[in-house]
Amino acid sequence: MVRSRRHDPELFPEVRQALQVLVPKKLRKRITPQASILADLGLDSLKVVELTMLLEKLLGRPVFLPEWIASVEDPGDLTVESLARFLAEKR
Amino acid sequence: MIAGCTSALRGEILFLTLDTRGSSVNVFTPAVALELERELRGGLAAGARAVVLQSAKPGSFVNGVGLLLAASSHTQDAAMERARALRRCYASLADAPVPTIAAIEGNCYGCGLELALTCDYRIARDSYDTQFYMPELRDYAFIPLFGGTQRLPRLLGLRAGMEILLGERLDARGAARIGLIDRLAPESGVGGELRSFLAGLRGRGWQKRAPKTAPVSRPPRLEELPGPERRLARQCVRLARLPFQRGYRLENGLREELESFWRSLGRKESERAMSFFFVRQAAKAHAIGSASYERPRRLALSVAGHTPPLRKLLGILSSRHLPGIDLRRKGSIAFAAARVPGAFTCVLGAGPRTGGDCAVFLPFPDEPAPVIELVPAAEGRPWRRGAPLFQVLEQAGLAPVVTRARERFVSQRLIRAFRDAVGSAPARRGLHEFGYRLPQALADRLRPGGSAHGIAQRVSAALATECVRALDEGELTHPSQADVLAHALFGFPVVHGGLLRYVASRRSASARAAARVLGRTQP
Repeated sequence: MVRSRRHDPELFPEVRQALQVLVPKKLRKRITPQASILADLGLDSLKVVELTMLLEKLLGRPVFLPEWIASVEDPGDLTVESLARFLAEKR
Repeated sequence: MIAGCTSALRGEILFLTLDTRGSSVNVFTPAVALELERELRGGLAAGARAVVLQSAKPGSFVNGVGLLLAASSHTQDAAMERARALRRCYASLADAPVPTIAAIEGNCYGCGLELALTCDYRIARDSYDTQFYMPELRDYAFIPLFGGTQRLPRLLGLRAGMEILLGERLDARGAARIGLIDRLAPESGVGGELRSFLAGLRGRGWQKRAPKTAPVSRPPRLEELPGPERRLARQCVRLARLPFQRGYRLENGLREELESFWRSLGRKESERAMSFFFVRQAAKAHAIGSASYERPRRLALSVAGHTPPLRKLLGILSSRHLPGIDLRRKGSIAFAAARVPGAFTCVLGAGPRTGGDCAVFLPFPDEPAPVIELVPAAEGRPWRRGAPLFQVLEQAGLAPVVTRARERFVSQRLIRAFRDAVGSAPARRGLHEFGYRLPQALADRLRPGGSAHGIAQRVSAALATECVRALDEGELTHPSQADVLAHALFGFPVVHGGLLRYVASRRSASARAAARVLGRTQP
């Protein structure tokens, strides 16, 4: 499902807030729902661990991102939007 | 923008330097591979007579290929294309018409070791943080894909090659002993040894090493491996035998390896095993505030007292060649015997400190990667003050876990829970078949027999229940710490993911409790 930019997915603000801490300043403007966390935002597996911790703090509940990582077909599908949707579904 | 490989042609020698952007360790991504290939091609065209592959990261030659890519690749075409791009880089290094040398300072894991194996020669620094390890089978439950199954047995013979593929960890001295590296450099660095080696090559007219296959030997006994590890190990032996067959061609072996890799990656076991990497890193981040690898600049460790566990710890630390870390001088970190039997305290910083900074417990010091439980005296979390100690212990090959234990160490609670769950029932075979890699001290006391479905379920449920209690009481502060303790203490198998997730997927009271602490509803 593709959403338009005008209708940001649920929990997108939280995901953006966490990513802003991790993503280098130069790349921050790329944090859009469609951005790939690997290709566009340059996250690696250790950064994903830090992202997990930040999200746990923001959402106040345990978060397990390997389930999200394993749920996509291709690394390019690891987008900000798909992460926000995964977190909303796991609520 | 440079992803992680630069080059310099000095004299007649091309130096390729790995330095992954934005990471504390080198990660061999497709982008880095493309750069390496390009720099190599350019250097050879400019007349290089030899190639040196080195790292600019302290403590890391190459640590991995980027687990995110592997864990999220489910469509074969895209993943194969990515793998092919990386393999092209390995092939171009292996096919370079001039001698190639890997100058290894820092950890050389998985695809990094496979990269070093494409070079004609390997020189490694003799230090605690230069370790050789293939995590693919043991930690991620997939077949390596960059030539390891072919080049390791070819270089070392079937037995030694398979032992490394199955997860044997070697330091630089061990690597030199079995012929994995050609020269051992002192802990101050590889520079001097590399210069003399290059001078020798120049003297011999920059000759490439003649290809040679080691004599075949018998593979290790696979029936001794825990149950879930045997199937992949058999596939791996089949691949490792190929180089010894008549008419063998490396490219055919590499093609078979890639096909086996793909079949192994698509399985649930591998998915769960890869997820455990994140669990381990989350536990570290919760313990000391960061999951990344940082090498403390200088650290003094002083081990006081003469209790047997302290002597063991001193033995472990002394045998791992920690450069820049003074083990004897009184100073930055001191371990001293405490009143709790088998425990000792640790003082960080100069000068005596009443009570110490943390209590330390080393339950199974004779294991290859012994658990060391650290209980900080201060309340604040994460325990940033203890970060250098944690990093050094981890890099020295121990498995540090930070808990907030009060009266007894959490490890002691879990060992008790394990013993109570086993009781006098036959258990050794059942736990082994399920995949537990128990410490010798525990395994020796078990009665033979038992089934993976009976005893292993009972033990797993009992351990999970005790972990949930420790979480509820605040002695463990995050579910990932429970999973890491179960894995480090009892060898809970990574193919089932973490202990709590495994137990939560079943139907019982302990499953409901595990699901609750993981913040999920039961299926």
